[in-house]
Amino acid sequence: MQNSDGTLLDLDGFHHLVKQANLNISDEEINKLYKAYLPLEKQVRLLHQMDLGDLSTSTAFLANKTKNDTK
Amino acid sequence: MYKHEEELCFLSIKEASALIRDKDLSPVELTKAFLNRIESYDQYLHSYVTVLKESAIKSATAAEKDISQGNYKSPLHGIPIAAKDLYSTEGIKTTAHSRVMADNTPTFDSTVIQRLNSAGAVMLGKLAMSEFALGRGDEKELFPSARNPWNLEHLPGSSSSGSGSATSAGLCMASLGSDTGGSIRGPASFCNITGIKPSLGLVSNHGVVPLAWTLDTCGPMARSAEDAGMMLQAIAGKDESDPSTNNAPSDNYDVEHMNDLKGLTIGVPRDFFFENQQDLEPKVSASVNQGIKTLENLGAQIREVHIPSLKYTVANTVIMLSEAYAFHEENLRARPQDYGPVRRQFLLGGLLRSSDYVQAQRARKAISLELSKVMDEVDILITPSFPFTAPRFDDRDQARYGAGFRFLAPFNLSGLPAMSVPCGFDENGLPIGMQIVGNFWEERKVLSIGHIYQQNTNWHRKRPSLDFPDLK
Repeated sequence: MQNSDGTLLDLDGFHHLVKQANLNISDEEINKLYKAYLPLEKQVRLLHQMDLGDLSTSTAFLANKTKNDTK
Repeated sequence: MYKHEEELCFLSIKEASALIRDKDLSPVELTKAFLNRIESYDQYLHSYVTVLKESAIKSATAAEKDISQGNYKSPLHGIPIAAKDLYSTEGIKTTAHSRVMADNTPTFDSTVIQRLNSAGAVMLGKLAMSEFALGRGDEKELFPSARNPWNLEHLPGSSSSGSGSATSAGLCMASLGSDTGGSIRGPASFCNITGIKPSLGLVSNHGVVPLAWTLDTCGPMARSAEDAGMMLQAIAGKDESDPSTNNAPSDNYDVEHMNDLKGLTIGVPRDFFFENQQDLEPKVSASVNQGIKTLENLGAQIREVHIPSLKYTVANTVIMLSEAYAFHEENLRARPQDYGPVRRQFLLGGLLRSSDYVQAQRARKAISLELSKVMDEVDILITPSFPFTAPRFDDRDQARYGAGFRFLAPFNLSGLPAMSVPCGFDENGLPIGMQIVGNFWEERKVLSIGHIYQQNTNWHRKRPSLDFPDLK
């Protein structure tokens, strides 16, 4: 979601991103969306800075524990 | 025995159930009391989007006949309840509070509705919500936004807004909500009721309009932990139509009646939930600390715990927006005009990259593993449900409101059961919630600890006055 040099996207870059994503929205809406996008981008950047080692995603998001696992 | 309508509508399920079973209370009389109350108050609260007057009376009449003939189905037989308008209901509009689904009339019942019907519950109607279970409600949505019965100028929480409002105001005995990032527990906290998000995979999502497939969790909202347990008993368990329930146990969710909490250890993650939290209102902090003290006085040991990965709770937002975009992509392009302001949030999901989504799922695993280790050392965690009480409708600081969900979302990521119980009021008379988190599949422990807390406090018994100025 950010520039390759790690800086946050400016409005022009954001317009380009939205066009690439083919969201089919007006320029005026893009400007409004940009305001909502910036705080999310900052948080997502932090997420990418997490040191997760070789942790996989696997299917941990599913309820893969049985009742006995928590005994 | 119970002549006064309000007293009928504020019976607990436990009380009403015993009276109905013993033929001391007519389900028809009870249902009519709720329908009258809805007619009187819902013009202010907007908690219902569909009231099923005729079918509710028909269903209550059938319940009364069954019970009189000795065919008592379950403790929910004849109990009037309502459902968030994302549960598919056969022949009854299910809109998810959106113009996109304004004409959707399902030809089948969702599994949870089927189970409640089998238990003999009486469906009063469908409840308002935030459009597609995201955002905070807006006047541009299909129906008016539900209001908080404690103060109409304040949010009832989101996204199960109507469920929180109606249950709190005595317009149903209990309700169904759904929780993807806090949507049961937030409204429960703001409306002074008890709402439990069960373990991920305990309750079927079949026939429920999705927000985010890997996070969505259905659950009950009630006026006590005991009543929430009775609702959960009816809806929990494996469902062949939803493979995510494959490991769901067959369990008993009746609360245990404990005399004390000796031998139990309560973990309190102070660094994430109490310390240096700029938006944590002092009265919220004080009320939850008082709640912890109450549990300590009942014999529980309190231990401070640290869960550093909680700072990556934004993973919940990334997963939720990405999955929501996947569900809505076609309609966002084809009929953008039918969406309210929630559309902008869905569009953000379209700007996230696959690497963002994968990193969020990895962060989710890290949070889950860390929480799992902590839960091996303690029985439950206690936290505030939300950093602050219900904001005003005209407070448009969406960023502040959204950030409040960081107290709830970690338990969507991890899938652990979490429940909000009332624990106090702020200076303006707005409710405060305390969150009780348990280990996987340990809903009964969570409910039972909530129950003993409620046996020793009165917060959950407080009712909103509904003293609206122009009420006739």
